[in-house]
Amino acid sequence: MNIKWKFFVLLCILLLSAGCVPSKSVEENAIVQISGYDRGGDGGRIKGTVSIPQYGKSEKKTAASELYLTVDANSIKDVEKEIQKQSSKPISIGKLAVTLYSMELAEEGISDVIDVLSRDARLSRNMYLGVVDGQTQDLIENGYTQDETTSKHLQGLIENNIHHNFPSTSLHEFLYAYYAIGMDPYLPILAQKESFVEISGIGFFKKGKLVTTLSDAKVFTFKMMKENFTRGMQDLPFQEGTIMLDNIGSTVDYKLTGTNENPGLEINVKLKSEVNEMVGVEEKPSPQLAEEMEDAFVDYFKTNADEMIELFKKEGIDPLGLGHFAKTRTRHFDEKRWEDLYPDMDIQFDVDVEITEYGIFS
Amino acid sequence: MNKLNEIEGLNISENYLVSPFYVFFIICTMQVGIGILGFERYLVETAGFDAWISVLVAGGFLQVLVWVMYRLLQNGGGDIVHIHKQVFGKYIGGFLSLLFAIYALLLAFDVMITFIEVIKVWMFPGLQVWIFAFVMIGLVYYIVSGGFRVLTGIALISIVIGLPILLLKFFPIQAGHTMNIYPNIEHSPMQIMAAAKQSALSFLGLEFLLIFYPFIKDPHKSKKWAHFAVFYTTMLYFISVLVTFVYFSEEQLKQVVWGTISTWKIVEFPFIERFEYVGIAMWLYVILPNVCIGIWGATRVMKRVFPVKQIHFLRFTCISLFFPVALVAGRDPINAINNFIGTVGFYVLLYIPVLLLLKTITDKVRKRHEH
Amino acid sequence: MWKWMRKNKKKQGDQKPSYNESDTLPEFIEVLGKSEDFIQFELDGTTRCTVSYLKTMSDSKILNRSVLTTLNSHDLHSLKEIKETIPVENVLITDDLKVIQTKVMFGYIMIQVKSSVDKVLLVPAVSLESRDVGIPEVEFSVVGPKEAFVETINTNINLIRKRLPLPQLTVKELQVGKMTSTRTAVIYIDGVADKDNVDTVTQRLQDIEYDQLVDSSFITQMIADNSNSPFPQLLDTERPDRVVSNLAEGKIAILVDGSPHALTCPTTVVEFFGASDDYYLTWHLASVFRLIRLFAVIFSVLSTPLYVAVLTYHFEMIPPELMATIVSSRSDIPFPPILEVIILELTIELLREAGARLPTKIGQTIGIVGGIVIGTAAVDAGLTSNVLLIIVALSALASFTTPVYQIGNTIRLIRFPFLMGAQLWGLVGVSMCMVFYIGHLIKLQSIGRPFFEPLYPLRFKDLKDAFIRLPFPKQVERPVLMRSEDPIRMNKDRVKAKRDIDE
Repeated sequence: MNIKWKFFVLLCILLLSAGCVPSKSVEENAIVQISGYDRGGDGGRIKGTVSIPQYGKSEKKTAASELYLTVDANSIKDVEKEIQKQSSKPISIGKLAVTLYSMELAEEGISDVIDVLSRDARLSRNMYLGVVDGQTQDLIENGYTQDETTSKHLQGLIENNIHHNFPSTSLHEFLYAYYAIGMDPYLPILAQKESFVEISGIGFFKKGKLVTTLSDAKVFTFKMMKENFTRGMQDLPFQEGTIMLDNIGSTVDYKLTGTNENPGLEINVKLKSEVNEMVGVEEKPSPQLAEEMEDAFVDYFKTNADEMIELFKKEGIDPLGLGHFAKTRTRHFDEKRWEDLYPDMDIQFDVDVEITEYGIFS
Repeated sequence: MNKLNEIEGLNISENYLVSPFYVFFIICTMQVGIGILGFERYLVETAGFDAWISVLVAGGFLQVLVWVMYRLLQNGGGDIVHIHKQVFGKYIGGFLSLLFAIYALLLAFDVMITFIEVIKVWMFPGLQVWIFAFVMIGLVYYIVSGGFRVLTGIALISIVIGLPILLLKFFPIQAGHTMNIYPNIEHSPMQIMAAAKQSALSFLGLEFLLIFYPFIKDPHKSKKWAHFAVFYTTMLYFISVLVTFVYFSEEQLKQVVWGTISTWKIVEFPFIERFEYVGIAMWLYVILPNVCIGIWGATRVMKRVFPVKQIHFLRFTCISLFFPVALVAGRDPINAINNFIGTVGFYVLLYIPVLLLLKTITDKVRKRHEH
Repeated sequence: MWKWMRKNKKKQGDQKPSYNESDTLPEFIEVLGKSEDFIQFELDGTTRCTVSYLKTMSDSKILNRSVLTTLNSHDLHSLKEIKETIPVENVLITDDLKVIQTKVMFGYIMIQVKSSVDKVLLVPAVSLESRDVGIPEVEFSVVGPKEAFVETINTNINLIRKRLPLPQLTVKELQVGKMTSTRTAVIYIDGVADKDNVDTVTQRLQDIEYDQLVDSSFITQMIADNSNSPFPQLLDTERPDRVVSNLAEGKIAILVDGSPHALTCPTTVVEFFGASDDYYLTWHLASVFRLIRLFAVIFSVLSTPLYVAVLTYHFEMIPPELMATIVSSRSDIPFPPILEVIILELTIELLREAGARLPTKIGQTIGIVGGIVIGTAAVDAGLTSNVLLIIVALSALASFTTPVYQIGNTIRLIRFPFLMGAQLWGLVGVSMCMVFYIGHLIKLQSIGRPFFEPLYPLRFKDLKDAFIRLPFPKQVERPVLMRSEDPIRMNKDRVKAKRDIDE
């Protein structure tokens, strides 16, 4: 080996050591997992609240402690900047799992927030968005369980409900519907009830503005119209008591009817289910009773669905994505005309409920 | 055994030849490059969700092109330098070959800057580009100096490692809206053709066959592999297009710069999340053969035109590539370069049938003279 | 610019071709006479002659019982008569100084008579002091033969020959090393091994220009195609059974006197991950164990670099469930991940190195004590995180699963460039390192044959015995890599003949 070669190698090593991308390792970052936005007070247009989990030494790791920071700012990125001022560690939003907006803010429109979320490469597309009935700051800072951080709790809450009554939601699905033609997004509404949080309904958006909500009781019907799913429960007063329907497989099918000038839509749902609660029902389970129960459910779903469709028509929103569906089935789909026709469109809802089991006790 | 051996400068010793089978890997890996990470958006801008037809059309066109190239090469062609010499004579032919070499270099250059851009956008906004470029070009130099056999090996590894990434398409399909792909042709044939041209740009790399053809053992047997390779990549692009169409809504996709990388974002395993980081890192295996074969092809053509050792050209090109790679930065210049090279590549592809025509004519004229 | 490289290339032709060569017989005897163990005496009895030998090399039993008794009891006058009378086989008369020198140095007894000045009689009386054949220690296996090579080449060849009683088993002997003149045997099966390979190996052995050759590992390094590579390009084994099966595949073995290891070539990278155990178990088990070993090697090389890359740059990749564990274990560590990893890796290397240098029993103790005490203390002191401790310990453990010791060393080494890459550019850096190694492996050759073989060039036939081992009836052909002159192992039709039900 020659001196020059050695020099060259040395130079390379020096060069490489200069090439390190400046970075801090994981524990030196303040990892924001949940962020919430409220309408701002005097300090700025919006008020941002974040929670940063504080991981202690290994022995105490079960106990979750969190640091809550709240700032007033003018834009979403400004929130990040302002929070940086209060933090001893660099703020990292890469693991953001839940983003919440207060109802007030959502009614004013959250388009600017959506822009930031879809632009930033570091964010996950599986993040959950939600609207809070009340102040997000209070909801975040409340602290719900001993062994879970708030973000994990809320994330788990939404995820669990998606598997049951609530239609699937995530940042990606929100963006999909937000940008798609003939489709409008929706988000879960969270509400604080004393010491716990619950999903209290769905909020429907029109171009980034919250326009109307649907209560918790009707969510099942909406989900049924929206997507195929295999779980979820719905109760119904029947005779003198209540029966509980346990879904084991529901499929939905849209169909375009009518002419090109005057299009209509059919929504057909097939629901297979079990009934596992029959409080106050005197009759023994029998084919006749099953039929009666099926009819009761069909009536109930139909009324609900028709109400809902009317509501959507009135508000001019299309969370079911009917326009989006029609677009894939129509040549030269005219978005404007569709929107004009939508309020008076003939949308038929049909449901077929089949009850297969009554549990192990009769 | 190989009649190319009689042509001066093309007698490559048996040790350095590769089996016809590897043509598949080389063509595949040259065609699949950085383009596949974000080409969907450009297609959708021109032809909307009908762009899948464009991909198939482009694939069909490329199959014809493979046939043309084999025709060109088998008729006593050898490689592009030789063909140019036959058709245009020593000086003009040499000049055209040099243009081809420059095009190959540009392709390598483009892939490199785009990959660095991806890394900057998705991983390290503060990346020291010149150091990264230095290391990457060093790596390319190390591989290219191993010769064509090593390049073939890298191409093979690239395809083998690229395969599992394909399986990840499962995740976006699961989360997708399958009704999006319902055939509903709304765009005019012109728009679809325009998108086909757009997608042809992602398919570039096929034309390197004109350079490495003499390195194939029993070249006539490799024809089916070349066709199969083009078919494979067409299918790959086709599936990618469909998956992104299912996953994104049309208007959304028009705003997503790197469609395929964005679909990786939702891949989750119990031990790992956010697969795009792994995907981008693995993509190095996919783009590296592009760069290497590009540079190898360029230097090989130069060697055939000028009587200088290839290694000198290689050193020269590596050093001269380093500065532009290190200096070019920013979305807009890179987009401009991409578009420029895409257009150039499109004309190169069109030039190949023309060349076949010219060659047939000159052959006929020459034959008449002999009689 | 490159001129300065050429300066070194000046030929140095003024060196003596070999040290141990004298010009005349008396000169040779004079040089030897300076050593105390060189004995020379004249017999004045019935036979008048001079007997000379190296006391330390010759067997005194042969001298006393066969040579001296005969010489004293008979009346012999010429070398020819002595040769006919002495009851020892292979006695030879020669005047070739070179032969005389080598033979005497190996322990032959030299007998001279006055009547012929130049010619001498050489009686083989080599004393063969050697260790008993023991059990393999480096490549231990639970089932299968328990014999290992020893330091004597004759014993080693015996171990091979008794397993391969074939006239075609050819042993070519060379003397390598200008000072040591080490006996080196090239062993192959004529008609199975490729002639080109044999020629390459012989050629390269003959070209060795080095004064000493103490062990076979010298040869590995000297005849390697690329001596700057961290990967060994000749397989090094101490198991005669492994050598025999390699020979039967058409490979070539090199044995070196004084070394208890045989070298086989050409070899491929996957061969280093196959143990001889693999052939003693049924093929499913063997295949699974091979895959486990492969996975262990990948884990061993990549786990700590990935740890550094993910924790330093890509912590978004850590799932939230793991996040709490990792962050809380790292929360009090004062060092960045890279430093933490390097400290711990070096500690493990230290333990391993110390364990290897110490006698077996102490070595084990040191390993355990060091591992437990240092590890626990380091975690308690907050110098390393316990997650990393687990990873490092596992990766050290995994690197021991390689059946061939040499490649284990390579694996120890190659993870450090990966660590550098990870610190530099996270996963992209790891990827770059990987590409470099793959490129390097593709470039490598073993005796002119591709080292990365069943993978590139892709040979599906050889993949039958690479990552998985298919059953013996499937292994009809010898590996393509060897370009064997007789590629078929068995009759395919007879193997494949299928019986119907109840036949």
